[in-house]
Amino acid sequence: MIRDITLGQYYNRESVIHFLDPRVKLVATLVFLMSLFISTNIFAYAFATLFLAMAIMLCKVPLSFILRGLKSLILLLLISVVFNLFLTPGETILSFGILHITREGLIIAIKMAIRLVYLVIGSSILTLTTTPSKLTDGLEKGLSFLKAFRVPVAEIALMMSIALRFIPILIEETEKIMNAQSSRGADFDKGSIVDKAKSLVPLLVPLFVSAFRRANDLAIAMEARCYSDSVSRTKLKPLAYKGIDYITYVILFLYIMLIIFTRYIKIDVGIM
Amino acid sequence: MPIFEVKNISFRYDKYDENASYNIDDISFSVDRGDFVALIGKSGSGKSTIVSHLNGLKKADKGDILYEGKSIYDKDFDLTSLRFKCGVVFQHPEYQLFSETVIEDVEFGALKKGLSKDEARLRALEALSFLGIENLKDEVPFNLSGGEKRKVAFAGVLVMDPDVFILDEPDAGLDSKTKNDFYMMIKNLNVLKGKTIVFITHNLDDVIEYANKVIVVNDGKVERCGNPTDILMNDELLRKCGLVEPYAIDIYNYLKNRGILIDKSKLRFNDIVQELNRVLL
Ligand SMILES: Nc1ncnc2c1ncn2[C@@H]1O[C@H](COP(=O)(O)OP(=O)(O)OP(=O)(O)O)[C@@H](O)[C@H]1O
Ligand SMILES: [Mg+2]
Repeated sequence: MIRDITLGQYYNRESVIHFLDPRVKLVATLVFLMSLFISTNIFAYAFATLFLAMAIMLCKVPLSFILRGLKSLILLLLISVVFNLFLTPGETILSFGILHITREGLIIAIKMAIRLVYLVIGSSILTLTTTPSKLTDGLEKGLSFLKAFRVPVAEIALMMSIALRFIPILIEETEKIMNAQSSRGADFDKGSIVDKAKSLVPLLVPLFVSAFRRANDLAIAMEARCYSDSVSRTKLKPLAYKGIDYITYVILFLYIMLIIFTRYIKIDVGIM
Repeated sequence: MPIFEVKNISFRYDKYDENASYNIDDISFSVDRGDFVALIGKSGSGKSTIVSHLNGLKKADKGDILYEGKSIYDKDFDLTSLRFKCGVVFQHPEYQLFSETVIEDVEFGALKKGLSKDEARLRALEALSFLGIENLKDEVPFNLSGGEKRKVAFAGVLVMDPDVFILDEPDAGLDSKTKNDFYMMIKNLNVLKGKTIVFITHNLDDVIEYANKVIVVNDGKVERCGNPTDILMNDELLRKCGLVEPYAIDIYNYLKNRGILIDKSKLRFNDIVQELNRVLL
């Protein structure tokens, strides 16, 4: 269960998407997320699906691995779908006692579910195909124009990448503690949902303790290598755009234009 | 009936790559009650992975494990009670310790087993004094030295009074006196209380000294299973598995080359001393 959180993990493969400049991938993720929120009709969703499917195919990360990230999301998904389904006022199409499913509710629930799922898949593709150090580089360089406004871009980028890096570390740590406890008779699978939730409580204190220890170790390691924020560091592999990156920008531009264009198509297809 | 029967288990860490090879492949062996079994093999051969299957912490992708004749993968098999009966000391004790104080960590298993608070505390203190570390009881486990952590981890298993002890490199990081005491204690658990011991070690002299059965692991497969002397005298096998023969065998071979034959079944330290006395005097 804990292992199912794929957010923030890197999956090493040789693929076009892994090869892309991190700035391109950051922009692509942003564009994709934006496109989800300006999508209004079935055509837009179809294009977004196609776009996502292409990315999944090209990145060579097994689909099962990507989908695993969704498992931990099911509860959130369920709550938002149920609330939208039953609490949106409008034209009733089905009733269970005092609960009514409305046409509008159904549409919103479906859209919501699609958006949420695509959002998670889209952003996990970014982290699955980009090492934290490249991500930091990309952020740092992509946002470097903000330095003119005295924004500490390098520090922000480093903080973000460490935070991202800590997600899998925390997951690993949780798993370790669960193993240690269950090998001495703790049971995380038995009983009702309440029992299961209760059995997680004894994990929290050791988890935080070890997270602080890890953070401390990291700080010491950085200090030992004379890390300083006042020195501008050079890069082993400076970022430089290649042909494929420009092509991707063009594709991204076309894609967002297409999505915007769909807003002007007015066809009543089914419920969408 | 063997206490553990491992039947053709395979396991791989990479669950999402169908083409990845298994980290351990088609492993079979059995452990009888009262056995003192050594698992040997070079680093990365899969020893730790194998033993972490025995109490169900990892689930094999293929194959089956029987505990007292019952499959531990059966739906109604009680894994929790297996974990009380089969105590595991991990290779890295820091993976095993999670509480804020040593005493709390040690009594964890006893409390889970259903003992009252007082009883669990009593047992924990007993285990700590048994290992000579009762002075550490209020320390923070993470601040201890490597060897101290190992002892605390062992104490945490001792309080559950399991039938089987699974010890992954129990001697790593211990000073030589402590190490000897430690092995004597395990030996006593084995001989006096009939506990079954499965241990992993890189020190083959300890295998000769303590084990009555050896399992040689190489590249994720069981290379050979059997009597310690036979296996450790087979230098072709040892070379193939990247192992070096223990001193006892060296001495045996050296004497043999000089025409002095000592009893093959008497290669433990005390036996060898006696044998040498016999042949030299
Ligand atoms: N958590 C893990 N994730 C992925 N691969 C792993 C993991 N743990 C071990 N492996 C791999 O499984 C193989 C067997 O590892 P294992 O720890 O069982 O070896 P070992 O025989 O105990 O070695 P050592 O003597 O160094 O302790 C190794 O190739 C290792 O790279
Ligand atoms: Mg090991």
